[in-house]
Amino acid sequence: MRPGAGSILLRYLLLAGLAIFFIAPLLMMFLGSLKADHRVLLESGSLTAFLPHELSLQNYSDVFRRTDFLRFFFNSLFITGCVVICGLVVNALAAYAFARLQWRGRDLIFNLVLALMILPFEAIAVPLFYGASILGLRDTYAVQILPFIANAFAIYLFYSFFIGIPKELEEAARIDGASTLRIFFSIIAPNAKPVFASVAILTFLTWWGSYLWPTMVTIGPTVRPLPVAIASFYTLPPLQWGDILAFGVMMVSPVLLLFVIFQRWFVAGVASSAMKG
Amino acid sequence: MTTDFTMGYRNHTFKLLSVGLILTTLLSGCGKGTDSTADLTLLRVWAHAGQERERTVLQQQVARFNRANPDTKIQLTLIPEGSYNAQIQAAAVAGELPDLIELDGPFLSAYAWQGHLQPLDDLLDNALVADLLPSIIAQGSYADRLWAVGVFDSGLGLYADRSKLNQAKLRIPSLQQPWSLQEFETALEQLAIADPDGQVLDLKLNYAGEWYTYGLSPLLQSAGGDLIDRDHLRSADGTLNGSESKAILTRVQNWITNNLIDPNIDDAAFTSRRVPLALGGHWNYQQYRASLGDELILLPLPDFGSGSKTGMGSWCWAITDTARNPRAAAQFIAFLLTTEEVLAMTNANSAVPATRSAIDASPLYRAGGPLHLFFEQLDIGHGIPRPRTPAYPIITAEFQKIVDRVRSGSDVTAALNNAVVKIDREITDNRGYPGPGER
Repeated sequence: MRPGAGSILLRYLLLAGLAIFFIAPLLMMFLGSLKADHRVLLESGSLTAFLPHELSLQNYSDVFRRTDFLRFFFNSLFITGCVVICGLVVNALAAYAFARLQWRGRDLIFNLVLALMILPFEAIAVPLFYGASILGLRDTYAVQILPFIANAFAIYLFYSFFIGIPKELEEAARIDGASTLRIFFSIIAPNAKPVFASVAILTFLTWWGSYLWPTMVTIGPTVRPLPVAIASFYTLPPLQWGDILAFGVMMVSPVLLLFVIFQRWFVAGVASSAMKG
Repeated sequence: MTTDFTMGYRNHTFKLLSVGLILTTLLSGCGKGTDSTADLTLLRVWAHAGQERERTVLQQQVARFNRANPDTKIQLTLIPEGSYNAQIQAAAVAGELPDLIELDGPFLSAYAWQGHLQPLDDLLDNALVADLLPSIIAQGSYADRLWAVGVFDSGLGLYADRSKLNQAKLRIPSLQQPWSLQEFETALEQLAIADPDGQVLDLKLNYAGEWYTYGLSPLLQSAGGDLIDRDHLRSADGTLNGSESKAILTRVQNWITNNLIDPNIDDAAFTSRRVPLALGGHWNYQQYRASLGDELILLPLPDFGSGSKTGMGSWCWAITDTARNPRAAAQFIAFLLTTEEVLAMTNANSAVPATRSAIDASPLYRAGGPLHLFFEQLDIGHGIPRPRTPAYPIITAEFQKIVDRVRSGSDVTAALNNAVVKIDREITDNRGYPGPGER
């Protein structure tokens, strides 16, 4: 039975409402980044916040003048890129070992790894911080990358996907003499692109906006990532909201771009992992 | 096959481990700065990356010091203000504080109590200390010792539009004869009559944060209330929720309810001449002067019963307990406190110079200068330091919540009692913050 026109209209209205709900803050941030500071605050309580008028790129120019934005952008990109790429390799291999290889204690260790998912980062931040300090890793790229490569949730997502791949594919390759790693990289990985995309995006989103840990372990601007750098704008009031919004736009743009590019795989990966999980 | 698998696996594992090890080594090396010059005293200095003008002056001062002292090198690290305290605390926990740090005055007690600082009493020249304003000494002292000194202090007052005060036929108050509570409320009503929207006072409610404690707690103190019992610093009960505090905050709430306060959303209430009165600090002066010209006058805060009071305290310099060469660190502080350097900073940020010598040489602050009142009120003791106790972070956080509740029309008594419970619980949980000799 086809839904009636009223039902379709209601559905579209609901979806349009949700779309506005999610897009409005982004639109306000983007337009605000092109307006003078006093206009940002003055218009924030009304619909004029969404009207493009008296626009200029002055706030963007201010951001580059007031901060070493490119340096911080590189730092964030490098740190997040390393966590994502190394994480994909390590977590996928770990998940494959749990899903396919037979070894003593596998199930016990897998359950322990899964149990780690319930631990919030805040709970281990202090011991991790002491560990990093003892190793002399503070204020380095390493301390922002190494602790976050292995990730229980990523392992779980990979595991859920791998467990659903037909074993016959691997058995055929093994008969042909392929090693386990060869099977993984030549058979499993190409068939698991959606889950790789999902894990990559989720990891990217998590660490691109990470604030607590970088605040604890960075000091100078050399390895300072974007979320800590934006704190430079939170100084003596009044705050210059135009500059803050311009910084915000440049900070979230890569995330939006990444999501738009990999959206299809991301949705497929999350959906299939969820179903198989 | 098993052998092939094992060999292949081992080879790959070895390669992966090698790559990982190389990566770790490379990454660990990134971003670490060292100074290998043998005869050079390296002083690591951390400061907050505040306003651009202050930042620029500080960088110039470091360059001048380095040029004048070839045996000492200042390595300055600027940390974003928004995350400054968190990063200092993290470094303290890790035992990696630098030699010299800049601190926001009200947080000094907490750092001194935690044992992260060393006293300056024996490190600074007596003549230099004698030249400091009393408010600078008061702010930098804790447990009868001097732990930090600022290059400048802050000024808080009431900026006014002279022509509108004259039109309303209001008396121009002075430090010797400030407005009384009744005069002040009459002035608000008189000014409101001639004002298009009736909003005549800017309390900078758009600032929020630490401004609330800095800018609005002097109103409590002027009325006879306070944030905490100053004699023992062990309880806020009976003080913060006392009748005086409650009465003045109820009046503030009434001013808001009666539409006398401009919410100042655009931060232009005074500069656009929408309001004739604005509570403000030294940092507002340049902008206000540019907007009002000769019509700008600076007034003391009203006397609500216990005398006119004002805020004080700003960023200050302290030597850490891990400083390897405290004498060299003190030498840098002394350099920053020379008249020339104090003026370089205070001419840029309009703050109150920390020394009397610099006050006399400052075009803004010397007798007859437009901001002389800020100096005078600090000099005669009208400035009330924010409570010098390690409990200050919880006190200010709770007071900010009180102001938010007052603003939103909530019950004042309930807001005050709620805050008192939380502050007292924090102090009790820390056994009253026993001093260094009592722990």
